[in-house]
Amino acid sequence: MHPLLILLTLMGALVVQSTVLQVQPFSFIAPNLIVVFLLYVSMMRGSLTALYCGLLIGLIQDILFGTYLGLYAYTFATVGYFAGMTFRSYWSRQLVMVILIMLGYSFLAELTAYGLSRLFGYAHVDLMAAVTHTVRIMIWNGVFALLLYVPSVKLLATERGRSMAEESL
Amino acid sequence: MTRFFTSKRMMALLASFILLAALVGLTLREREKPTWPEAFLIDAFGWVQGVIYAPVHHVADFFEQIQNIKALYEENAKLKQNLNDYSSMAIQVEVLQRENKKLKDDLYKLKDISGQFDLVSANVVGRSPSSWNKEITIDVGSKNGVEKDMAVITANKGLVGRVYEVTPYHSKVLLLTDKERMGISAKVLNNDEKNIAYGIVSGATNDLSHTDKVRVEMTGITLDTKVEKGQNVVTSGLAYTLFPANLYIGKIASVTEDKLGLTQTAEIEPAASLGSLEFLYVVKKTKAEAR
Repeated sequence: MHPLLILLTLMGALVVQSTVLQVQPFSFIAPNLIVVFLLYVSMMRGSLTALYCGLLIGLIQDILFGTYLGLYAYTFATVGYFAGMTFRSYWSRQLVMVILIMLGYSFLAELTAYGLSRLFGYAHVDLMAAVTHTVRIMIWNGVFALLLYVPSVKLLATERGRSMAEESL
Repeated sequence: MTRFFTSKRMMALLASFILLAALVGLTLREREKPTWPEAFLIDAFGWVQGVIYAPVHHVADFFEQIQNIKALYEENAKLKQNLNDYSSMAIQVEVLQRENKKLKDDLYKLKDISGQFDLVSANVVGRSPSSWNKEITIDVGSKNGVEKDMAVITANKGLVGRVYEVTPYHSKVLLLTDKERMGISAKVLNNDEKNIAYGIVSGATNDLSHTDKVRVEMTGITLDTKVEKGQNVVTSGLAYTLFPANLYIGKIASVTEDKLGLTQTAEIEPAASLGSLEFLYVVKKTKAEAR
């Protein structure tokens, strides 16, 4: 998969996030698809690719839906980079480990965004309410990470990593 | 185990922090106009979102219709029972007449407000996926005469928010519940001409998903004014030149003193249903009124 295609997929995820998952009956489903796919990118393609992809898609989200630039650009870039590091150091052939790392970084991503918007915004959301909401998103992310595991690994596999991906399935 | 931080990485991380701070600092203040690449991106995504949002809403409506059909069956059974019972039928007729009158009144109100202001009708094309700022994109822009800081309302006169950024074909609207940049000057209709309670409507603290009961905060009401539960809140028309006065915001649900005990804070139940938005109106103030 070409890096440009990865970016286009992320843009598609952003469009789905902002339309389908915002309409009443479907808004019960609350995953952050961008983070899920970005974490798969960091797993299959390494830290740096994930960093650049996160930076670009974050900047696009800031431009489209933010009041100032930089919040999501920073969040997604750091999450992509450090998740790549983690996946590399604990690259276990177990799905459980992958999903656990995913859950952890989903939680971190959402909470980083909350912290930054607390820093620059002026209305105050209680930390407990934010954590509760973040946990809800984290659980949905876990569900979607399981659903998207096979297609993402297949799509993102490079020639070098292909054999590894097939072994791990 | 790889080492997370070599000195080069540390430097890069610190540099990126500084860059982030600079970018936020440059854009934190409200800008007159988005730059052209931003405008281009918002328009491009807006069109794509517009194509998707409406069909999805229709699918959602379909589910609602199914529920309606179920309700209709039950109603049908009831009506068959009532067919022999003329008096209950008469009561139902009366209820329907009342409802009809109420709907007609609403229609006149809408006509009335459209006489007062110039309205631009708009469709919602997207909604912010972030939990921490609340905004929507609508499909009218500067080509339709929309300007920054105009008010956005629903058909039943409830205020939804204000226009934050305008591109040629789309606009970004900050919702009342936004926690980052919302601030609308409002007053409480408390039947006390000498001592009108003014305050600032500044976002919601509990609306993290669309399912919660939304409450919007109104802060900075002075202690010597009397505000009570159930009183109506409208815009004051003091702050923005483009923002008209007396747009209905909602009813007061509760009043508390703030932490320092210097001012009062009221929680408002918004009149507009902010959970599900599809058709909105942008209020254009006529040039004669705008001071």
